[in-house]
Amino acid sequence: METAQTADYALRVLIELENHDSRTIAELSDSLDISRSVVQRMITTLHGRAMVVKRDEGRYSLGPGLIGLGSNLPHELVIVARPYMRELTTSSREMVALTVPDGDEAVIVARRKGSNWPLRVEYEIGFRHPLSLGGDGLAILAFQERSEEAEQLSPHLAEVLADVRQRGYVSTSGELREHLVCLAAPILAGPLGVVGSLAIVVPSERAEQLNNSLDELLLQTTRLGAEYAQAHGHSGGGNS
Amino acid sequence: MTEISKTADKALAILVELADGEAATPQQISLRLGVNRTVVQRLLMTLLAREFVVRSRGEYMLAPRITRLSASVYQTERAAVKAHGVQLSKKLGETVVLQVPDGVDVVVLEEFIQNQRLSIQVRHDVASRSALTQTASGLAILATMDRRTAQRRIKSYGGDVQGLSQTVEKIRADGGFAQTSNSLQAGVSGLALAVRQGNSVMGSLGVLVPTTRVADLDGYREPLARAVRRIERSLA
Repeated sequence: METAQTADYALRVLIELENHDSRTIAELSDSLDISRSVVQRMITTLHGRAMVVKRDEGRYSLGPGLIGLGSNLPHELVIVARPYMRELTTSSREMVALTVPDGDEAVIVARRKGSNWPLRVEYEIGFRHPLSLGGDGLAILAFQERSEEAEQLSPHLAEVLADVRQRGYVSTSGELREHLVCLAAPILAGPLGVVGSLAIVVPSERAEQLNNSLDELLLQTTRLGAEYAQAHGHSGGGNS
Repeated sequence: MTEISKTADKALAILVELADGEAATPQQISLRLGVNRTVVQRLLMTLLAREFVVRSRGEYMLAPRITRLSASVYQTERAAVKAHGVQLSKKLGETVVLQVPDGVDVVVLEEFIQNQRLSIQVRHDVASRSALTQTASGLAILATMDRRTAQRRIKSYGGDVQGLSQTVEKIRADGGFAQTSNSLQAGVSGLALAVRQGNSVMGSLGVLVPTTRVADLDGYREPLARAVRRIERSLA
């Protein structure tokens, strides 16, 4: 079935403003190769729904009408991560958590249990803790530009983060809760940098077996990072 | 301003309709929007082609990339404001809003609310727009404009030009604090201060209270000013 061209113009204006913030009608018309009068109509239509805002000097930016659209959707990484988390829980038979950074904090956005062990770790989605605590947070912080600030405050933390960067993973014990052991690796999405971490979390009674899952953890986080980068229009993942 | 494009607006209406995150069939969308099903089908194809929606078993839902689109709305500004807005709202137990200029209006960019079990709170939804002269947030911005521009704006709205000009002068003399009562709606009062970014005005931060608690606003000036200073530092 054919598409509706007029509606498509509006979507292209949104995409253009997403990539290049604050544009005039003339600039939009040039870069999209759509006549000024059509761009003006699209802007009026989008403005009617507060999806664009008129800033100084006739410049337009994406507007708050778009904010509500995303508020009920799961984090994009959650969707991309699903198959990788499944692989990891199948092989490790332990709880796997997906964590993303939010300012100075780490937030658990997805979890998947690996077995029906009577003794297991339960994680709540939305659970927050400082990035500088726990393996899932440290794996992210070590690869963020802001890590320098944190390192200046604490020489011990600087040492830990340097170690994480060198190994490419981190193992912590009892940092967030007693008897909780965590093995975590950063999700590095090429030019996007670190976008989150995957962690296998176990009760200390099963800490010894945890290292058997290290290779699988590194494999899945590398693949996930590459796919996430690709979904954002960057080919290849890996460290950069 | 130019007229809107009805076709494009229907495509946007579909996005808004799907914003609850649930999947829907073209038939359901057609019924809910009162738009012909063939038209809905065509618009869904358009949205699908640009990856604004995804399709699974004949049902459509918003695509994950929408989160990226919505996250890029005033990204730097929202990041700079968030922690301070949350903190101020928590401290005062009232609604705090960040509004930004939008042509001759202001529009709500962020709303920080306190979920209390049972109480009357003011709500000013994200994306709601009002004239610069209608809210404390708008007046705080108006008072930062040079006198000629401000005067021109006030005249363009019509109404009590002299009264508004005096109000703006009062705000200037009062360190930029704008306060209104029952102006946005009966029973709503607000106190706002402009937020500067370099040489320009990014927007304004406001505290909204039911007019029954208007006496509390005096005590909110200092915390509001502190929050604005912190935001301005984060923006610098």
